[in-house]
Amino acid sequence: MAERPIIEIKNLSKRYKGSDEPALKDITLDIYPHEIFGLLGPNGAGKTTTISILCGLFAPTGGEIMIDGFNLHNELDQIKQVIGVVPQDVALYPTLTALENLVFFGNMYGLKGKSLKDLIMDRMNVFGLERFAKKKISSFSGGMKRRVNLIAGLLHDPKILFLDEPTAGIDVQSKIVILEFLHEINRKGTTIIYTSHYMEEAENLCSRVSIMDRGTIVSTGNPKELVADHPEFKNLENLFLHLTGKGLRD
Amino acid sequence: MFKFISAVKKEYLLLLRDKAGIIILFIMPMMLIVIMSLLQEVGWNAIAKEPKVEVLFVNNDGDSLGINMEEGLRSSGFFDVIDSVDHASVTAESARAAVKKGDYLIAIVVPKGVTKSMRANVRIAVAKTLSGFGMFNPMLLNNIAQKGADTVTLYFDPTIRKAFKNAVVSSIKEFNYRSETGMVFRSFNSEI
Repeated sequence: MAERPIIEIKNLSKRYKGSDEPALKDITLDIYPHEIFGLLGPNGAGKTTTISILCGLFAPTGGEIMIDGFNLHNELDQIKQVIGVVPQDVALYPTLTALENLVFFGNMYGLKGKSLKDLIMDRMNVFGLERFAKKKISSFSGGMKRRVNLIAGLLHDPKILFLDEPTAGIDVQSKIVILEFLHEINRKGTTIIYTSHYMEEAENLCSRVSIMDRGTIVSTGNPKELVADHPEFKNLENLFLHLTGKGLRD
Repeated sequence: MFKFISAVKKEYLLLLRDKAGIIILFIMPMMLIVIMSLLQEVGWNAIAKEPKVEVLFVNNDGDSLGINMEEGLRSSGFFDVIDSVDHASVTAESARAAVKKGDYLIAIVVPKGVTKSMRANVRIAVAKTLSGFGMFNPMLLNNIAQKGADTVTLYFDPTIRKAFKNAVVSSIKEFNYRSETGMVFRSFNSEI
């Protein structure tokens, strides 16, 4: 890849207070524009910590991060303008309607008026939610909440989108709609960084993946090429199990 | 500013739909204010509107001392003078029993003839005093014999506070002295 990375991570480390083991150990990683990049790993591998640091939610213990040319350490405000975040837990207000939630998040991105409402209705239409715009989130199914959560993170058309397990615990139909939409916005130029436990999904969706374990990156590359480089494993899941082990994680 | 207004609007909607939140935010403080006001009113009434003490009063005397004492107790504002219970006049025995039972805190029994006895003693005392000045009037002691001390009897509930008990005893003594002094003056006045 000759292009300049849109995200540059150098020697990133993170240790939580009171924890014996560091959550991240000296991670170095480049993510390029227009990629769909997957962070894969078992529970406690450091995926969510990495994404949280990249979004500016946690401060790293050490290392340097550049996002779209801005230094995370002192240019977080500029970085927030170019990123969108879809957290693992649904971050919506259950007593507000879907429309009220999305209008609020749009307002927080500086969007307003009829153009915002048109955009929201357009996105809800894409995700098959237009009929539920004025229903409270508390009455939504898990899949519907995930879809609204995704729309909330995308309202300002971010250049880089972080998704933390966007398809966890939802039905197949919702999963297909979400993945198709991610492909669609990626084709239009959005760089996507996402975490998942689903190897098959990552194998189909991602242009590159990093397999993480115990705070380190154990392998990075195109999922198909990674499998091809290890012919003894027939798919990414087998390779993943080989790299991270079969032991249960907390 | 726009983001702030938007956040306020969102918080307003959240609060409006959160019944438990509204109860905690508005109704609970209102309840606290009402309860505290009622409690303070009780305390204030205890200070400002001191309740009267019910006193069983048995006036067997029927003369000036008993009448003055009853009027004095009624006009003091501190006592609610009760002379009949269940449409029956209170007697010395029933008053004693009622205090013993704990139905009343105080009972005052003015014995029969106490005024008469006091008056006789006053006349004797006046006659003795006048005789010292050579002004003895034998008519003053006609049909009069010095009487033993008939005294007003007081019954108190044992739980009553000592200070209050002393105040009541002092008041009764004062009634006695006042009546006696009045009699002395009237007696001297009629003789001189």
